[in-house]
Amino acid sequence: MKDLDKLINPGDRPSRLELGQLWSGELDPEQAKVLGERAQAQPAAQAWLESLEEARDQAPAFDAEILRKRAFRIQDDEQREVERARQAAAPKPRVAWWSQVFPVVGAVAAAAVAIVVLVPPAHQPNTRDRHQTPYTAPGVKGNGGIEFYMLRGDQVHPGSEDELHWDGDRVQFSYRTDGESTLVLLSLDGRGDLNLYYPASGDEPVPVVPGERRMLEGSIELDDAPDFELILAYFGHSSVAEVMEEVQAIHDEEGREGLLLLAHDYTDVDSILLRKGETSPGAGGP
Amino acid sequence: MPPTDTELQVLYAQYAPVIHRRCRSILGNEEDASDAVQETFSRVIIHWESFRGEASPLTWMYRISTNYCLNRIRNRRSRADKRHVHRDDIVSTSFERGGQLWEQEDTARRLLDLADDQEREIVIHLFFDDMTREQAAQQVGVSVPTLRKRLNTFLARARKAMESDGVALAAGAVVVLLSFLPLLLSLGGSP
Repeated sequence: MKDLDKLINPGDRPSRLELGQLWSGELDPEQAKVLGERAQAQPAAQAWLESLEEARDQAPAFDAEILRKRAFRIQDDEQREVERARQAAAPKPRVAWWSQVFPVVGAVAAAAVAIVVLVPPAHQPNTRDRHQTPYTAPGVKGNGGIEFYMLRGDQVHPGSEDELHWDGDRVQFSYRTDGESTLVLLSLDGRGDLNLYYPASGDEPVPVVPGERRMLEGSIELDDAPDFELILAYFGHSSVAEVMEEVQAIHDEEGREGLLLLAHDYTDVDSILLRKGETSPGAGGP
Repeated sequence: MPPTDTELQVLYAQYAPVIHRRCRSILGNEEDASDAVQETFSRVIIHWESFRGEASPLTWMYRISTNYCLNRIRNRRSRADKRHVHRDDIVSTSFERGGQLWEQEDTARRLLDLADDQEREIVIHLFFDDMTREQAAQQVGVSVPTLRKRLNTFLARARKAMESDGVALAAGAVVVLLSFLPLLLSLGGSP
């Protein structure tokens, strides 16, 4: 391992912030001239400037609408956060203990009676009421939703729910949506674990482009979880945490079948059920 | 008064590649880097009035994108993902040019994993932004001696962790070699 101290800039080369200022044209001509000369004497600085030039093609294309929508969402989230903090910080009025106990006891008794009388024995999902009208945002089903390609060994082919899959298979997804601009893609595996794939990190769903079918960047490698891997794609949701919460709640109450039903009933959710083989092909399987 | 699309587009052409390249080196993948660009420019829209008065718009954007990166790293650390999402295109393009540059970024990303919240910002400015200690101290808002002290404590811990990684790797190699020893001996003894 290199001596870490030696990686720190002793002051003989411009920082990358300064190089960024130079590259973006932010400096006045005199400053730019001096910095440009310093940069020319340093191969690392030159390499960084070249990589900025390449980044022109790599940065996401400008889309004012996406930026404005996101700005609105950030402000909205921040306002809600401020409101939550304000409520949490507000002093609670002091109330006599008996005035709190009697209503609670009464409410608990009434709720117990209501549960016994009204709730049928069947399990009810605690998130969406799937007996009501399904979500009818711009549709992603029909020709939309998610599909996948599979890489096994060095062979790539369009994936199918009809075939078996094994530990080590690599899967890359494609999507199509008519109007939604975000996607969260996750899975439930045969061990009962939820795995978030897109976004790879953070709480913001990945942006997607409505219109023709597109590939998602990157692929996932299936592990040795048994039986199945149920892939779920949520379109048009703004919070990864909310999606994870809903999936977890439905899974807790109704298991895999509840999630399949959700994907079947609602146009904003699509699913792919990958069935797992018991023995890998390399180990003498089919 | 929010910026017009044209104003925004001009800024975007000028700065988006810089923010994208920087965040890609810190976060290590395209998807997060692209998201960082969108987050930064969305905040430009929100703070447009004060942003217009900035002497160095890029310095302002650096602050925003640093916060974004720190949040991402924190979330990534707290969310254990059992499988690796492959991102082949980054690895291949980065090694082709400026291998030394990439090696430094790779080392710095390992440092980020070892750092706590306070130390990460220092690591970002020193090892990704290639700032001097003085410049980094100014960005973080601490004195140079304070930064030096925090850095030394952190680097001592990081060195230890990285060395123990190396020891574990070497030990693994010895175990593998030993497991092949009977085979090697039998081959050596055969006529």
